Amino acid sequence: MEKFKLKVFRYDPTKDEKPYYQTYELSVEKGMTVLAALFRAKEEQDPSISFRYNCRAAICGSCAVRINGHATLACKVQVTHMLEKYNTDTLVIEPTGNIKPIKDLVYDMDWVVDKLKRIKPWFIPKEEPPADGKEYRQDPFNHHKIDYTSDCILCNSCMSDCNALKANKDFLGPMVISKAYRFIADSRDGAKKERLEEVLKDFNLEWCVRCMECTTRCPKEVQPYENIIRTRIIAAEEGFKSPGEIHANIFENDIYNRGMLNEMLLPMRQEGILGAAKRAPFGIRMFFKGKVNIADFFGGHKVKRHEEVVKIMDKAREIKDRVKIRLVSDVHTPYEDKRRSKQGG
Amino acid sequence: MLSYDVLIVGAGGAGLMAALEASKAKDVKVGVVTKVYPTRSHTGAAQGGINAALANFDPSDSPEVHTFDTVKGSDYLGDQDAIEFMCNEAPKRIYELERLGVPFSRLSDGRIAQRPFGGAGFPRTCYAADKTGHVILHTLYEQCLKNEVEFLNEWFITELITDNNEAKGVIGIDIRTGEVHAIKAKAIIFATGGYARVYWVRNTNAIGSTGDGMAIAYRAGIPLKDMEFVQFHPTGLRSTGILVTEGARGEGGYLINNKGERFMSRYAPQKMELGPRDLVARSIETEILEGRGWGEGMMAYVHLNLRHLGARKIKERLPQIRQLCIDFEGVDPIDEPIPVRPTAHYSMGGIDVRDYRTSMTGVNGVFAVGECACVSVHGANRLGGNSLLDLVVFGKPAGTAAVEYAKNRSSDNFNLKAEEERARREIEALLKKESKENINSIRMELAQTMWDKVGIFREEKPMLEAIEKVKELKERYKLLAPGDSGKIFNTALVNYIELGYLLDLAEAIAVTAVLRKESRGAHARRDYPNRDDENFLKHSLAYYTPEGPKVEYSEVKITKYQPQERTY
Ligand SMILES: Cc1cc2nc3c(=O)[nH]c(=O)nc-3n(C[C@H](O)[C@H](O)[C@H](O)COP(=O)(O)OP(=O)(O)OC[C@H]3O[C@@H](n4cnc5c(N)ncnc54)[C@H](O)[C@@H]3O)c2cc1C
Ligand code: SF4
Ligand code: SF4
Ligand code: FES
Repeated sequence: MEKFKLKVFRYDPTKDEKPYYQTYELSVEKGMTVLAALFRAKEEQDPSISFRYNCRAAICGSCAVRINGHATLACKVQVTHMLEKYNTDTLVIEPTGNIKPIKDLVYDMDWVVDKLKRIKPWFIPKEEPPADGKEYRQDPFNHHKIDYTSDCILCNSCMSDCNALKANKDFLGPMVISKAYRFIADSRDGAKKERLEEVLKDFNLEWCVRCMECTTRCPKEVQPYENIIRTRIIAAEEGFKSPGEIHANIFENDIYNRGMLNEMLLPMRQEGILGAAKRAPFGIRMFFKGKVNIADFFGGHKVKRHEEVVKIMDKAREIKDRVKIRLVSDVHTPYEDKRRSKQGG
Repeated sequence: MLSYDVLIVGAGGAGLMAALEASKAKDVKVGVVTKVYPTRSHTGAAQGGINAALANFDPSDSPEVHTFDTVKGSDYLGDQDAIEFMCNEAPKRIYELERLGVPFSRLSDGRIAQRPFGGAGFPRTCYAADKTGHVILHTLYEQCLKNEVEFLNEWFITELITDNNEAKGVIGIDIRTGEVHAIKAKAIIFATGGYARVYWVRNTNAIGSTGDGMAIAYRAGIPLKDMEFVQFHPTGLRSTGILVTEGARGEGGYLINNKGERFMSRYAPQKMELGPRDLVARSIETEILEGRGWGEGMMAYVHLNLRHLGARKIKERLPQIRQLCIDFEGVDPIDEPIPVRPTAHYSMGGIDVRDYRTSMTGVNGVFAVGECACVSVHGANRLGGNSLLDLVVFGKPAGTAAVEYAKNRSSDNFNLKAEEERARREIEALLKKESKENINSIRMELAQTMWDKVGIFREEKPMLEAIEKVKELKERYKLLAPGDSGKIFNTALVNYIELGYLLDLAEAIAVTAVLRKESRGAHARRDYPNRDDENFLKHSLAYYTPEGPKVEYSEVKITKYQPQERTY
């Protein structure tokens, strides 16, 4: 029978000075999930491998690991599919990235729960319960906004592969902000402001580098990246001046005044002289590479036919209060539709 | 030593509901101990919904009708006072869950939506898409975080310590450090979930649904009630037992045997594939037993064919089921039929609860709620959507009752330390022990035996053989050892102890099943095909003895509804 290699990250801090990898050879079986393969290795070859599991049906969120470098639920993927996908005979199984491993594939969940607690991940009602003693009413449209975000199983696949979290361990991370959005977007919830203040602290919404890795990894289609963007939009609508919004304001004014962006002055206006000074070496490099027009420092040049840009923007500003700007279209996509679109292929 | 007024063992829906309620009391120290992180509990897997006669969909529904449906569904083995209590409380608990934030699906006027479910007179099942258990579990956990409930996550409880018929504490292993601890508690609530894992691969449950709390209570002298009743779902995936919901047949899927026949025409010519769950399950089993399936032994199966529905309909109407088949069976139902077989789904039996208003057992200060408990509200057969209800309806008053109980107890000087020392020595010895057996072969033989001989069809002789086989496996278990001597996250040790629980529970199931010489609800005997109210309208109670279970019986509470024949 055909064989494959399961190469597993091993680390027991009470015994091992540093992590190492151990390889187990197993038969390829149709329908075998990576979780089943881990169990096979544990029960037939080495009882000391530690990993988390419970539902084995992609709903409890226990079993996230990195397989050949990418986070996913071990119980949701098949050995044959993975071997084919990476065109290999070896599956390398490592614990989730960005989170401290405790032993082998088991990571420190408390670290994540502590982050989570910062955004008060619980429902705080806006109003007293209805006088009839029954449920808070919520129309299906408002329900859809929180429907798929409440699918999150806290599996941390997104946290594992987040590039911003890699650079800054204090970043709340996609799962946590997405969870905040779950409550911020709930028409019954009354603590929108409080939660927004928390996620806006320490530039949390800005730290995200929009790499989309979280949304790509999420096994439940929770769309953490999109939820971060949705949170930014709601923050702006609520009148918060996030760095992102200041950025957007500068952008708007530049376009109005010149028809193009003054990249040279952007950092200075956004972060003040001192903040911009930190970036100076980068700016100077850009200058020598011919990316920056030095004239920009002195008010800069304008685009051709600038007056037409002004006309368009005037019109837009004039009708802006009448036409309420809609959130990006997929914000309101109902749960079912989203699923279908994903499974179309 | 860790010490609590109220200690809750288990953080699924039942445990968290009790914890939330108990945590509202002032000056009472409440702790929750759980072998997996609370949100990893099996409750998260419940999809369909939770029953309550809100009458949002059909105004003529009422708690009375819900009560009757449940009594009838239980094949008259449920206690009618407890069932009535549950169905009356149901709407209040749903409103409470909603106000805690559960994102229920909605009707267009903003009220909670309800869907029809098997065995119910009206669309009564409240739901959140196909993830009802998930959102209830997460919401309860969130509220517990808010109330700053103390959690001991990833602790594995191994023993209940009682003295003079009173709760004293538990013994547990902190999986993260490997340390063995005694935890002192005045009141202890077990909420450890079901035992369907006795049937290992042929079941819908989580890997950790090993009936721990039941086995622990049983060994401590508390009887297990109605253990012979195990619910089987007709369609589980062949290799994992994972549930393929009724929706697949509802949309027009066919069940096919190896002769290419739609065999349901023999068993339910009118309803065909949409006959009641137990009938469809028995039909599939008959086909397999008579050689008209594919595969061998535990891996035998029939086909659930969806191909004739066409790719478009499958993608549109059954996307989740398709995904499940692709992820867990490696089969795309657009191109291939799905291999299915009935699968163990729910444990009606459990720790004998004496008083449904408090969920207290026969031992003072020991309570049990959720699937590990047997009140009994499900009797011989549970209705879909009534289990999640059971968790929240009985979890809440159990929390209050445990607080009251603990408040009225002063601390004593029972020597728990001595028990801790003994347990520590035992675990240390286990870690050093050499293994002469394989855990998987014992587990698989147990599952195979229980499936073949104490499964969907039962008969005296095979069941007696099963009891012998379980005894033999218990002997072989003595030669088994965890095989890992590590301290941190030693899941081999956990799995080893769990298998010991399964063996005890399997014995209780088999012994009570042999003694019940009738067919009722999920307990179908070929040699006694009819219900026998004269002799068996009673609950079985299995008491632990080292030689095997000793069985007694207790009365079924009948208030309004006299037993009738159960037809649908
Ligand atoms: C696939 C599936 C679908 C279902 N769908 C529905 C449905 O639609 N509607 C419905 O009403 N019911 C449904 N059910 C049934 C229902 O989900 C369960 O009966 C219910 O969730 C059990 O909840 P619980 O709180 O009793 O236990 P669980 O949720 O199983 O929790 C058990 C807890 O105990 C802890 N524990 C166990 N042993 C130990 C130990 N030794 N030490 C420490 N902690 C321990 C675990 O960590 C866990 O926290 C379904 C079941 C399945 C399998
Ligand atoms: S999109 Fe943002 S949050 Fe998501 S992984 Fe990338 S950096 Fe992290
Ligand atoms: S957002 Fe998705 S990937 Fe991230 S924790 Fe939740 S379910 Fe997992
Ligand atoms: S085991 Fe539950 S998500 Fe994989």
